[in-house]
This record gives sequence, structure tokens and C-alpha cells, in this order.
Amino acid sequence: MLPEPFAYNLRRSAEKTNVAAALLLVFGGLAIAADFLLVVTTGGEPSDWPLSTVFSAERMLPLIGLGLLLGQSTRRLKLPALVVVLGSAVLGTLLRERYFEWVAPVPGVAANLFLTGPIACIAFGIALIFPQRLRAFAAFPMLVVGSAALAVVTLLSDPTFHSRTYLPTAFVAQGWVVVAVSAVATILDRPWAALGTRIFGSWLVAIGLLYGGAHVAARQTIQPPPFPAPAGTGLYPGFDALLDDLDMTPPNPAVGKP
Amino acid sequence: MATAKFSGTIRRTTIILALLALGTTAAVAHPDIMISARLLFEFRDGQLAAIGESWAFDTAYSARLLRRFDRDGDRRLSGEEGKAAAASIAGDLKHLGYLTEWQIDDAIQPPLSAGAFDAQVEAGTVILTFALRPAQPIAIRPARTILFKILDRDYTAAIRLAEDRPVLLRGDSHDRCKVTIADRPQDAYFGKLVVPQAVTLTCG
Repeated sequence: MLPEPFAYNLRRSAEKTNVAAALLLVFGGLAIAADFLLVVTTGGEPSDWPLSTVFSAERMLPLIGLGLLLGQSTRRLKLPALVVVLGSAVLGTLLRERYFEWVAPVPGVAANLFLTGPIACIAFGIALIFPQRLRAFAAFPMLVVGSAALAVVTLLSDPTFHSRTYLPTAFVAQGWVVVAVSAVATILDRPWAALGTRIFGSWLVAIGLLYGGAHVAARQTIQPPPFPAPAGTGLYPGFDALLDDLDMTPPNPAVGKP
Repeated sequence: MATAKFSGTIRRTTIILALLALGTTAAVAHPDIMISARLLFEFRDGQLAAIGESWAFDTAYSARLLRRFDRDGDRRLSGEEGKAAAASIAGDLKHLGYLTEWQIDDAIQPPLSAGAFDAQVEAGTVILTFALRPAQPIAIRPARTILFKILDRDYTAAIRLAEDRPVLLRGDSHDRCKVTIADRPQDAYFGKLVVPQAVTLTCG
């Protein structure tokens, strides 16, 4: 039992942390909404929004699953779980080409981001199905698979042409979703919430299997549509804007690369 | 009775969520962008001084670029608009070496520095041009081969050389060199499913 003044200070400190976290979540949400509005009010379409793929159902479902998993884990397990999530995300990103080569023979997978979306759904879903007392054992291997898949699907579903800002903002926005769901799950610490989470886990598994299976059945290929045929007039077609710059190239040194 | 009703609700919800998830996947199917590329080898004083690249983007991505950068709505990227579009793409692709990989006599070379970025619109297609320069000009020697590939390893963009005049030579030594274009299955990427084209420059 803690002495009363110390316990009081601890409670006050926890309350302050909660208020700060709530403010952070609210402002994070406002920033995301403002970013979207900035795109659509300046002539862009919703699909032009760099975070459009983050806030699609395909990505939100596993993110909600991960948030519930972290929110319902015990305080002792939260930090190790977070380390596993981040470590697996880095590992997945680094080893993605090996994974691609491994699954590439399966028809339809390459055209659908190598099924990383359905895999993330299934992995987090399986972890959530377990009752809470057994979840710690099931969660860690599933966290590795799900987090790696989530990182790769984030990378591959970049709707921009490799924009420098896409990956940082996508990971921050996804972190915001996970933290928001996790906070709600922590607050709703009730038996019915635990049951609801297990039902949601079974949905995630079913959805992952359904649309993963649909992709494989569709046997879509990565054959691109016809390429544009650039117009060509003049001696150096397509390079008119560059010729002046090339002509202004300073005289080369006498000796080139040996 | 109540259990059957409950499981029916779960089944319906699962199907609705699955349909929602399926509905979003087409938008992110690979590849998203198609590019027809041309290369221009610039020779100066008997050396390879620079490499020009001209990329023609597909209509959908061109429209997207126009929505973002065509401020006056005239369906062109004139003056500052073209510079802004080109600068944005240049900044985004710098850490990827402008999607250009090259070798001299089979030795992989460091990324080239790039400049003179410009973007213009021709018949609704955005054309991006830029110049790549080696740290020092490359001496042209008999039997030396210089190989270039333009590829996006995450396959956001599918890149092929243009059917019409894909490679051009310019400058004082261009008649000493010949170009071959061939697929490089040994360099296949994206699960070894995408085979890049290679442009090989051989000079006598």
C-alpha cells in the first residue's frame, strides 16, 4: 500500500497523462481531417489524398485489430508488444523482396500487394480470438506476422509517385488510429468488451480469408495497361526542353573516367 | 432461436465488411503509373558527358499531376507550373536514384546526379525531362560497355522504353557508338515477375 500523498500524486500524474493523450488524439484527428480538406478544396479528388489508402476499409480493419490487441494487453506486456510491432515492421520492409519471391508463384497475389492486407487481417484476427489469459502466447507470433504485413502493405499501397512525405505521414496516421482504438479498448475494460473483441477477431479472420481467396480466384496479373505513346517531332523528340541545358554543359576535363 | 439470429447478424456483418474491404483494393492494385521513357546520350570531347531522360506519363497520372500543378486550369504546365511539378517529382525520386541504375563493364555505379528538370504537357500527356551527369565524363574506349536500366523496384510505376526512337545519340562521338536494347531476366524484381529492359552502349 502506497502512502496517501504519494498515491495522490501518482493519480494526478496519471490524470494529466490521460488529458495529454486525449488532446493529442483530438489534434491528430483534426490534422488528418485538415490534410484531406486541403487536397479536395484545392482541386484534387479524394483519391489524390496521399492518405486515401490508409483510411480504406482494407487497412483500417487490421489497424483496429492491432489497436484492440494492444489496448487489451496487460500493462506489463504493452511495451514488449510495441517493440515487437515496430521491429517486425522494419524486418518486413527489409525482407519484403524475399517474401515476394516466395509467394509470387501463387496466381493473383502480385497484383494485389502480395496479399499483405488479408494476411494482416488474419494474423491480428487469430490473436484476438484467443481468450485474454491465453492471448499473450498467441499474440506475439501473430504480432510479428501482422505487423510485417501491415508495414509492407503500407509501402506498396503508396498512391503517390514515391512522395517523400507519404511514408512518414502514413505511419504517423496509422499510429494515431492504433493509439485511438487502443485507448478506447483500455477504457472499456468490461467482460462484454472482451467478448466483442473475440467476435471482431473472428470477423477479421473471415474477412481476410474471403478477400484473400477472392484475389487468388480472380488470378489478376500485373500486366500493365498499354503504355503512353509519346509524341515525337524534331531531331530529338521529347528532349526539346533539355537541349539548351546540354549545350551549356561546361567543357569537359581533358581526362574522363578511366 | 436467439443464437441463430445472432449468428445470422455476424454472418451478414462479415459479408458487408468483406465487400467494403474488396471495394477498396482495385485502387491500389499494381502498377499504378505507366511511363514510356526515352534516353539521350550526350557526347562531348569524345566522352559521355550526360544522359537525358524523357518520361511520358499515362493519361490518368498526367491528369492527376495537372489537378495538382495546373493552377490556371489551361491544361498545360507553363513556366512556373512545369518547374514546380518537375521539382516535386525530382525531390521525391532523388533517394531512389531517379529510378536509373547503371553499370560500366558490369560494375555497378553509384547514382548519377540530376538536374535541368522540366515538365510539359503534350496532348494531355505530361512529359518529364531531366539530365543525369556522372561525377566525371566517361571516356569512350573500344570494348567498353555502359548499361542503363530505368526501373521502379516497388513497381508503383511500370516503365518501358518508347516504341518510337527509344534511344538517341547526340554530340561529337555519337557515330562511334551503337546501342542495343534487351530484356534482362537476371535482374528481374518484384518477386522476379518484372523483367527490366537494359540499354547497352558500346563504342568502337
